[in-house]
Amino acid sequence: MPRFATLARLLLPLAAVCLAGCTVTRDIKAESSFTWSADAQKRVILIQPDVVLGEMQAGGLVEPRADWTATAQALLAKQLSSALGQRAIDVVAVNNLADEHEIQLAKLHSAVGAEIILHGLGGAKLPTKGSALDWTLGPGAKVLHDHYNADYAMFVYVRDSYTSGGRALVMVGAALLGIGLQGGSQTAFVSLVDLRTGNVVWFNTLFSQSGDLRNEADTGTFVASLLKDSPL
Amino acid sequence: MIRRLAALACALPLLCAQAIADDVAPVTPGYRPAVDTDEAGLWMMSDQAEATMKSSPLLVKDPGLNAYVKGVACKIASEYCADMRIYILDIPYFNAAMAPNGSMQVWTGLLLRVHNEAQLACILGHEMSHYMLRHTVAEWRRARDTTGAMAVVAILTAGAGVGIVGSLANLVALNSLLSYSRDEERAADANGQDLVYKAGYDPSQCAALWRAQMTEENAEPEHADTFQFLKSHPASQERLDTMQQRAAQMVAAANGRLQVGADILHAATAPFRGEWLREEIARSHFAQSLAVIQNLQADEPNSGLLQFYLGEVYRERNAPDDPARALTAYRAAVADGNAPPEVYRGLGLTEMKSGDKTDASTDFRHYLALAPAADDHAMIQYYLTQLGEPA
Repeated sequence: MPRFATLARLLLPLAAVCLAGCTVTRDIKAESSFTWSADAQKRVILIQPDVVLGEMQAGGLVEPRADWTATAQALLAKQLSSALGQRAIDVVAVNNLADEHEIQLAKLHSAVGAEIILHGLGGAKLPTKGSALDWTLGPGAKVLHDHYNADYAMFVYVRDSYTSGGRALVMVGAALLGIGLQGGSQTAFVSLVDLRTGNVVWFNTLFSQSGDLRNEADTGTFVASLLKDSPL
Repeated sequence: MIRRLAALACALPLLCAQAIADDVAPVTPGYRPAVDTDEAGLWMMSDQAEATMKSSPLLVKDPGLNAYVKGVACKIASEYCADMRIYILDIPYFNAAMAPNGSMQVWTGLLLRVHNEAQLACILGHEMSHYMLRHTVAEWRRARDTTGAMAVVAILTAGAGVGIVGSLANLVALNSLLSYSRDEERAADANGQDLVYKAGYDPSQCAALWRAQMTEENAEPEHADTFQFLKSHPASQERLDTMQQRAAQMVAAANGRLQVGADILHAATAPFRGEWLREEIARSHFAQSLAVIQNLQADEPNSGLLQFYLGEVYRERNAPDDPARALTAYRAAVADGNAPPEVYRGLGLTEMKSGDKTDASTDFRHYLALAPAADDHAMIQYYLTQLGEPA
């Protein structure tokens, strides 16, 4: 299941500065100003979070879990809605994109998001790009603005794994020999796209070795860390 | 009738697929794994991959072709038909693959290479057997247990300073991670062949298809990357022999009532074959393309379309005797009558290169007359002025 690992692996540099049990985030904001069309109607669409939870096996292979994933998906949507609700923002959950163009926009965002992680926040800086957040989905994003009458779209990506009993044993054995092995961890990113221009206006990555997205309180903490530096 | 024949065949020991090892039982129609299992996790990941496939630019959406392939699949899947979803992807290589959730991808390079409906059924039957026999979940459990062993070995040997043992264990574990086991491939061969036979197709076509693919691969072994399917399905002599042996018994038992279906496959794929052949040649693996076309010509010796593309391969390869071979093939294509207008462009380009200006001009003009809206109209017009024609 290579899809499980691809983006999560790109976020690994964050793990290097994270000791056991810590949470680190790194964000990047666009220079363009953050505005609403009308203060009376602040609306963000939340594209169905791309979430996979799994159990890390003794050998380090992550076994995806459908039941945990469904639970986390529901909790995340709820916590994100409530966190934004407290900022007087109306959240519209868009769970099943049906329109061909909108589906392609979501796919484009996955590609652009991976590039931002690699070149914007990661080590592979592009010589001509600098460190500014000047990535865009292009003006085609306007179809989402018109469809939902929303100024911004939020995309969330989470890969979360939990240590199985077998993996814990292997880690203990390794520690006895002086070798540090990784257990389960959370890697996530969130991105905010201005639907009037298609520009990515804020991008945040998170790495954590604590917290359990299968329970509501931890998910609340996770969402708070994820949105901590957001311009919303 | 067919059902009775199948029941009869199952009395012979070789003809019934054997359940494979491990504790994984075959699926029943309409099967869904319980949500808290490892299998549900594999299905979830496959569902995500399927969503990506559905919105892929490579997806072939032609309703007629999709209905045809799905129809063949349903004929052999019978009560499992509703559990299968087939996606035709426009990729000019020989490949088909089954995901554990019942979604299957079939590449156009495969559809170009099968000679008849029975051969298509052989591939579909083999792939859907991986689903029916739940090979992915068996494979996943094996990988999980093997990498578990691998991590333990890595730790043990890291401490003792014998890295070589560690990397050896890595290699072994990796190998078993990458593909279905030989036993699973054999089980899929047997089960697939049973399905093909029960649906009334000639099961000896399975071995025939395998042999044709081996010929093509041997034509250019340095570019074996074309054969994704063969890579994961090594066509060992033993597998081929078993397939042939089983088929012989089935054919004898069937008493002549078996279908091959060359015409029906050709009718369904005819509108696309020109484009698939063009994509095949664009890979620039000319020896393989020649083998593909010559394989197809064995069934259709008088096809102008195949003659035309044979000419295209020779013209593009341009080895010492190729221009002459190209001209021969193009002329045969014209004589056959059903070649596309581009045959005159091919003639013109080849003649122009060898300095035969008069014939080149005539053929270029013929091409433009037959295809006035061609993309390369301006280019051909330019050649005509180069050849001394008034602009």
